Amino acid sequence: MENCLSILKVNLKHNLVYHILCCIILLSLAPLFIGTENLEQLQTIHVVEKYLSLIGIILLTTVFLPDTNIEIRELILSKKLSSIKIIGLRIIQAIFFILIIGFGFFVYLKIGNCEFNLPLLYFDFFANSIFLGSIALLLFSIFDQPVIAYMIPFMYFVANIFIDSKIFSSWYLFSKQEVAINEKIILIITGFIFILIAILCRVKKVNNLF
Amino acid sequence: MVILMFFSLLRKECEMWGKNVLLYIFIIMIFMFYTTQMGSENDISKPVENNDGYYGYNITTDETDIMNETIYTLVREYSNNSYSSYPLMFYKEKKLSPKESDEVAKILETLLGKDETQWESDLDEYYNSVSEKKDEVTGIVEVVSQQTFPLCVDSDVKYSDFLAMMSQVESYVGNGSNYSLASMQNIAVPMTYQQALENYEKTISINDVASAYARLFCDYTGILLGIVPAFFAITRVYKDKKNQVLQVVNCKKVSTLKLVCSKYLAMVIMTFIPVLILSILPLIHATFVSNINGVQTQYYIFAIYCFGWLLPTILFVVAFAYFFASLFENLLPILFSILLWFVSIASSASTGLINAGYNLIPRFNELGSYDKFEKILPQLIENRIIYSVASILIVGIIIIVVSKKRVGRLQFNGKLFKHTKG
Repeated sequence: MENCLSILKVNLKHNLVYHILCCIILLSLAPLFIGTENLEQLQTIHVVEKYLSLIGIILLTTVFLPDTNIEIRELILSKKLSSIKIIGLRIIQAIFFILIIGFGFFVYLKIGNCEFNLPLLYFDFFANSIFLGSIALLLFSIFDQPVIAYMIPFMYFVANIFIDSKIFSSWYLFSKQEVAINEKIILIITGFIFILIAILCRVKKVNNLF
Repeated sequence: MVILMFFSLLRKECEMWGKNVLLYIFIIMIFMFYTTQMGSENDISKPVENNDGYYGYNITTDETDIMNETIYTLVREYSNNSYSSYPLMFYKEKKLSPKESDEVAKILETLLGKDETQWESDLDEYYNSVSEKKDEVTGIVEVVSQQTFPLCVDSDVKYSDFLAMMSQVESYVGNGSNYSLASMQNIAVPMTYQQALENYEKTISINDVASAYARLFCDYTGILLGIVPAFFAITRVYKDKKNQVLQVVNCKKVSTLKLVCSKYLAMVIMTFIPVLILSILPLIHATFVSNINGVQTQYYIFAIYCFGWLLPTILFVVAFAYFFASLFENLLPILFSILLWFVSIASSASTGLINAGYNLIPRFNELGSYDKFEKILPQLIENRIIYSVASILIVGIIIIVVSKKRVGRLQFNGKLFKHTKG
């Protein structure tokens, strides 16, 4: 337990904190160029899906970032605690902050008198963030290149804006009239499957060092 | 000897990119983007008269049309006290204060030449005559009325006065509203058969068929090129840092100028070549359409557009990301590059999809319409020159930054103000 806490503490201090700051800066800039006051339900959905969801990419990519340094990777392997546990803890911590920061933005929207169904939209935001973040995580585990991990989910997000929604089938990120709960469930399930594959790939890669 | 060494470095850099997965991801991405975007529009063909009278839309330059269409929107937004704007792509709604609303009411009275009670009663009468008609096949509900919209601009109002009043409304609502000059210059009205025919004949008479497809190709591809090349630059520097190559390179005799320029040019070349190759696809399509319309294809036109329109975007995006990547040697430039792309794309949402201005990603999202292209051409040329010159300047700055780093200065190591003096 103590080990777990110290892992979370070190990860927060040396890795996650900069990305949390990035998210906070990004969201603080929101009122400069998007409506965050008096929005109707559909407008609020658009703001959440096309802006807030991006924090999933920023925060989940951090999970493998410390391991890009080969010395840190060797150090982790030399410890008793399994790398799968460390990665798992980092993922839980990243998801926790996605939820906290997301909730903060919802509070901000509520103060701005925006209309929305909190449980439904919060689930929508969570599904999009987890899905985009999981793409990043999976690609990071395969290519070991953080730039690719940031690029592909972002380009997927861009493609969703510009390309016909039919191409994406159930993996389309944005809602047309109202939040389609079934599609969001598919996004979340796919997201967690990607995360699982990413963990397995990473653990295999890290263990292959020796 | 010096030139030979430079080309040898350039060749090595290009070979390195040839083995990098990022290049292949880029090629797949650009190909997919092309296939999903191009081809969705109708081809250039002679319009045929039809019963429903629909021949597409055309951006109007008629002052009366612009004034009437704007008034239609202003009346609606004033009645609901809900004013929309798109300052940066996203919808933003504003409710005006009672004082501001009174000012808008006065403006409406001046423009319509009627007091508020009078125009409101005209409007009520119109809305009472409105009914909804549902298409049994498509299920689309259409709003129909026996009357035409009753409110139009008073004949005594001059266009310059109208613009001044809209500018006042915009100051209340905010940038990117329906009352900005850019927004009013992009008001589209339905084309008549005659207008559609004239449009087509102009395209054929000046042999603009291949150019029309080239412009559309540049418009779509520019969206992607406004961001993806940045990832090349960031990867290059980040990989060097991660593999601790920088320390080794810094000790070499090779000059910083050669080092930076070879890396920079390799990234530009390796991102530009796939674009050039991809342009063959729309060229084949344009040749096919040209043949149908009986005009000769200008095969070189796509290359001219790619060099003149798309290359400056790549030059700037790579230089921009390379500069920040060289300075910080971390992943922060990804955020800067995304913000740059975001602002460029988003500003075209408020300035319209046929616009160059000073935007990094000029837009021309219309097939044909040479008249409109002719209008924006001078600003497009100016725009492309500015970005090309800016890229060269940024590369100059990168050379200074890298040469300082090679002698151990400007090493931030996560602390922004460390070692910056001296």
